[in-house]
Amino acid sequence: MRVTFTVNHQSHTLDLEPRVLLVDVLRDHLHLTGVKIGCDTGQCGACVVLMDGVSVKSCALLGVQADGSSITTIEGVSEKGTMNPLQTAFQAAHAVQCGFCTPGMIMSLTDLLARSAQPSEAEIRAWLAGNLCRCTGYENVVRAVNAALQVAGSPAHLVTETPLRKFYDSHLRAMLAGDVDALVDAHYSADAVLTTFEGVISGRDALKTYFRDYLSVHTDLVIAATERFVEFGDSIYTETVVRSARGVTHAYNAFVVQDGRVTHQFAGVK
Amino acid sequence: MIVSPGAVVPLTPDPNTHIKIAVDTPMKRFYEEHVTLLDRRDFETLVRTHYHEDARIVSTEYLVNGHAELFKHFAKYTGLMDYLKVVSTDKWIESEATFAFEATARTQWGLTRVHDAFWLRDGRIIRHFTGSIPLVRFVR
Repeated sequence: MRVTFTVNHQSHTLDLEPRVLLVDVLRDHLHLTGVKIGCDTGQCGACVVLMDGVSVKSCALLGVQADGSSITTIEGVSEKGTMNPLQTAFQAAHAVQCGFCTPGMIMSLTDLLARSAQPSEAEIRAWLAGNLCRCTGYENVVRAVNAALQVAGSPAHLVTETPLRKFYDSHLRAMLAGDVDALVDAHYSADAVLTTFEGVISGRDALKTYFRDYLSVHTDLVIAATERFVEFGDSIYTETVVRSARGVTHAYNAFVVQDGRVTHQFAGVK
Repeated sequence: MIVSPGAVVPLTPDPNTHIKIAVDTPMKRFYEEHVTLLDRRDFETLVRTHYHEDARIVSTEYLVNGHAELFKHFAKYTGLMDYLKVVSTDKWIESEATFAFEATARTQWGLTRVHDAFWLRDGRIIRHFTGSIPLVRFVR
């Protein structure tokens, strides 16, 4: 069967036998041997990868089931050969002994940290129930996660640190602090256009009115999870879980950022 | 200043209404032409007349930059488009240089909610953001 999917931001089209497991496709066809085969029966978690941002055991999926999806492996979480904060914390906290389970652990935890900005120790341990480690006893793994959170400060920073990621995080901080003047003056160009399904808002004054109205309704605003973050050139696309006094919504936003300011933004709710 | 949506027809809350987008605006015509070109698989015309030379498509699935990649992108997805059928356009908004919609579509993975947003310069797309949410998941 002809299958097309993206692995670590590179598109691949492969002819696969329907019986072939995703883990074998990644290792044998694409030579991504950071993906490990441990039990080969969906128990140990050494083969965990992200499929469309969600952690999956690649030995429990067929390669053809990945058709149309976006896969991230351990090879795809570092930036130009530099380890990300979670990987660095694993090394610093000596959360690695034999290392065989580590790629799967990193991928599982990347999913967790995208869902929860400050997971408790209990949440971290419960999340790792599907990742078996016979060396570390998990103590240093939990320490590494906590260290990574302190270094990175946000799950949005765990995979990469880029100017656009920092810009997005600064935008979020101003939004969550309710500081509308700082949000708009520091992040939007004078003639910025925000397109929503409620209307089109143009210019800083209108944006300030819009955000004040939004925040007056959505009190106790929290970004519960950043499920997707994609940046490309001057553009950002995000999908987030937003919690407020109005309830939980799944939002998507797209930004065009030029000369350090948003010129165009699109916002919607799933 | 709040920019009025202009000729955009207010959306009805009736979820059974099939197509609910602006009746006749330049952006609506552009969108209809876009869909027609996709349906005809006329990617040559689509890319040349609807996308700037340095246009970008940004999604969680793929990143496309410029005409050369756009041609490859649309050619690659020809097979997938055989399955694509727009069931309903559920939301629509437009301004002088932007438009966005949400639609329900049938794809090879089942019923999917798609959302697309476009920024146009001089009548051609300069940035195109696209995302989707499967309503019935195939994997997991």
